[in-house]
Amino acid sequence: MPLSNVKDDERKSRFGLRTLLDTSRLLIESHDIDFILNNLLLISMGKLMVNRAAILWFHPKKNVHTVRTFKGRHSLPDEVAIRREPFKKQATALCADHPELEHICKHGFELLIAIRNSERHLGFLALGPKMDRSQVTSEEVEVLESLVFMSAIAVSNSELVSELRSANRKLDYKIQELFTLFDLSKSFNASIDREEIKRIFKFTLLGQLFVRRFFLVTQRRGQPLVESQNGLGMELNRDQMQVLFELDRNIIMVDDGLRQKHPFLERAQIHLILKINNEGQEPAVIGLGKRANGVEFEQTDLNFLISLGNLALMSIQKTYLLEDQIEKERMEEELSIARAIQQRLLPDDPPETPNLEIAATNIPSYQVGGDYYDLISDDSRNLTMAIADVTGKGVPASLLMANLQSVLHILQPFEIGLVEATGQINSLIYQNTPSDKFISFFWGRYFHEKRKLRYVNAGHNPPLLFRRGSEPQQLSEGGVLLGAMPTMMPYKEQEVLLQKDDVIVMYTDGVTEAICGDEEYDEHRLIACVQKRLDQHPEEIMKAIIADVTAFCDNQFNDDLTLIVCKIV
Amino acid sequence: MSKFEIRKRSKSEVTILDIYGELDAHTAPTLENELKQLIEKNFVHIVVNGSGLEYISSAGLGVFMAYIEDIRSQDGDIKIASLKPKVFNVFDLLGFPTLYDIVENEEEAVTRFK
Repeated sequence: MPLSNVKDDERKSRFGLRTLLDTSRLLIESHDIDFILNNLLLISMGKLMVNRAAILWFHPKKNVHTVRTFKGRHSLPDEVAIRREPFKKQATALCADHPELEHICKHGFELLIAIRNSERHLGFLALGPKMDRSQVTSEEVEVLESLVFMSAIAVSNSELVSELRSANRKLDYKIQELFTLFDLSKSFNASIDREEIKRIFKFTLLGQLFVRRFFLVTQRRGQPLVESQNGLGMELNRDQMQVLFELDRNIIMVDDGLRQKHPFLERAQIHLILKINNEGQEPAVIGLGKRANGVEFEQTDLNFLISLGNLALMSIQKTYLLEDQIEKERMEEELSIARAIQQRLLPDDPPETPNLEIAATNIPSYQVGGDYYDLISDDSRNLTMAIADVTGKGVPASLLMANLQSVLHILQPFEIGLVEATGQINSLIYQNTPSDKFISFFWGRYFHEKRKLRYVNAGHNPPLLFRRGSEPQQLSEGGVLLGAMPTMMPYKEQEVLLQKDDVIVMYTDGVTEAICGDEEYDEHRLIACVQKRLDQHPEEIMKAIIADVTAFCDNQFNDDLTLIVCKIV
Repeated sequence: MSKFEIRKRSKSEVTILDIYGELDAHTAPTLENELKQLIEKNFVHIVVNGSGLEYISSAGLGVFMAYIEDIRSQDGDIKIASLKPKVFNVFDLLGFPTLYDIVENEEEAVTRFK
C-alpha cells in the first residue's frame, strides 16, 4: 500500500473518531429526541456526502414505519412497511442486495441502518446515494453504525427522562389535587353557610378542572332540588332531575344515545354525569360540561370529582341538618313558652271554701297538654270545680283547652244554672272544633252552707264519692261529651247531699289508663288507694295516688294526669 | 388582619391589581368583587401582579376562570405577571398557561395590551 494511501486512511479514521466523540458529547447532554435524530441525519449526510436522508420511526402497534424526520427530497408515503429479516444478523443493509427492500430503492434510498436499543427496534436511518456515486465503504458503515448505536442509547435515555418528567408532573398534580381536597374539607367543615359551600364548589370546578358548565342536584326529603348550577342556559325541571336520579351507573359519559333519549342533556351541553352516594344519606347528581381547555376527563379527574362531590354533598347536608336542629330547638322553645302560658291558665292555690279541704294538680306528659281543671269561688264563697280532658295531645289539644278555659271564665260571673251553662259551652265548643275533637268535662258547684254539690258530667270519667262504711259512688249524671254534637237535649244536673268526711276524687284518664305491661291502673286500684286514706288530708290522699300511679307505670306516663281531691269538713 | 389584600393602580388604559397574601376559598370573594366592579365599569384591560401572592388554591384559580369569558367578550383580558415560582407551579400544573397570558413581569403584561 502506498504511503499516501496509508496517511489518507489514517486521516479518515481519525475524522471518524472525532465525529463519534463530538456526537457522543452532544448526545449525552441532550434529552430531546427530535434533536438527537436530527443530529444523526445531519452528521450522516455530512459524513457520507448524501443529500437525502430520513428517519423512519417504528410503530409497534401498527407494525409500520413512518417518516419521522427527513432532509432533502423524498417520495416516501406516510406509512412504509419494511420487512426486518435482512436486519437480523446485521444492523445495515444495502437495499439493492435485498429484493424485499426494493420498494425503498424506488423511493431513492440505498442504505438502511436499524436503530435499536437493547430492548427493541426503534426505526431506521435511511440514506440516499452518495453524491459522488461511490460505494459506501465498510469503514463508513462502521462509523454510521456507531453513530446510530449512540443515538439509540440517547433516545432511550431521553425517553426515560421524559417518562420520569411526566411521572413527576403527574405526581405534582396529584399532590396539588390532594392539597385542594384537604383545603376543601377544611373550608367545608368550617362553613355552615350553604351559599359559601356552593361558591367554593363552583370555584374549585372552575379552577381545578376548567369546568364552567355544571349542575349539582340533591334530594331533600325525597324531593329533587337544584342546589347549584352554572352556565347551563336553562333550568332543570322535576322530570329531568328525576331522569338523572334514575340513571343506572355512577359515572356516565354522555353519548349520542343518551342525548337522543334525553334532549335536555344536549341542550345543557352536559358531557359527564356523576352520581354521588353518601352512605345512608340522600344521593346527589353532578352534571358537567366539557373542560374549557378541551382536555378530556381522565380517571384521576373522575376520582377527584367524586371526592369533591362527596365533600360538598356532605357539607350541604350538614347545613340542612343544622337548620333542622335549630328549627326543632325553636319549636321546643315555643312549646315551653306555650306550656308556661298554659300552666298560668290553671288556678294557683285553691280558694278558701268553708267546710271544704281541697287539693288539685296537673302533670302534663307532653310539653303542652289537653287536661284542664279549675276552681272558681263566687261572691258567697261557693266553689265551682271543673275537670276536663281534650281528645288528642300537644298543641291542638292545648288550644282547645285554652278555649274551654276562657268560655268557662266568661260564663262564670253570670248566675245561670249549670244545665244551661253546660249547654252553651257545648254549643260553643261544637262550633269551634273539628268533628273529631271532643272534651270530656265534669263540673260541679259546691254550696258550703248546705254541704251540697250540684254537678253535670259531660262524658267524663265519673268522679268518685267516698263515704265511710259504703261503696264509692260514681258521679255520672249529665250528658254527652262537649263538642260531639249540637245541644239538642239539655244536660241533666244532679244534686248530692254531702256529709262530713266525705271524699270526692275527680281525675282524668291519665290516672286510670296509666300502663304497666298490658294492664291499666284502672278504677279499682284508684279506689283501693283512696279507701285506705279516707282519714287523711286531701293533699296527702292526692300525693298517695300520684305515688301509687307513678310506681305502677314505672314513671312512664303517656298522658296528662290531673286530680282534684276534696274533703267535706 | 386580612390574609389577602388587593391594591388597585392604573397604567394608561390598563388596570393593575396588586394582590398580596393567600388566595383561597375564603378570600376569593374579595378578588371576585373587584373583577365584577371592573367589568361593570368596562375596565377590562387587567393585569394581575402576583409578586405578593404567597399561596393560591384551586378555588382561587376558579375566580380567574369565572370572569374571563365576560372580560374577553368585552375585548379585554386578564394577564398575570410576576408570580413566585411556587405559585406559578400551581398555575402551570393545572394548565393555565394554555388559556392565559402568564408573563415574567408587569411591564411585559402591560405591553401585551398595546
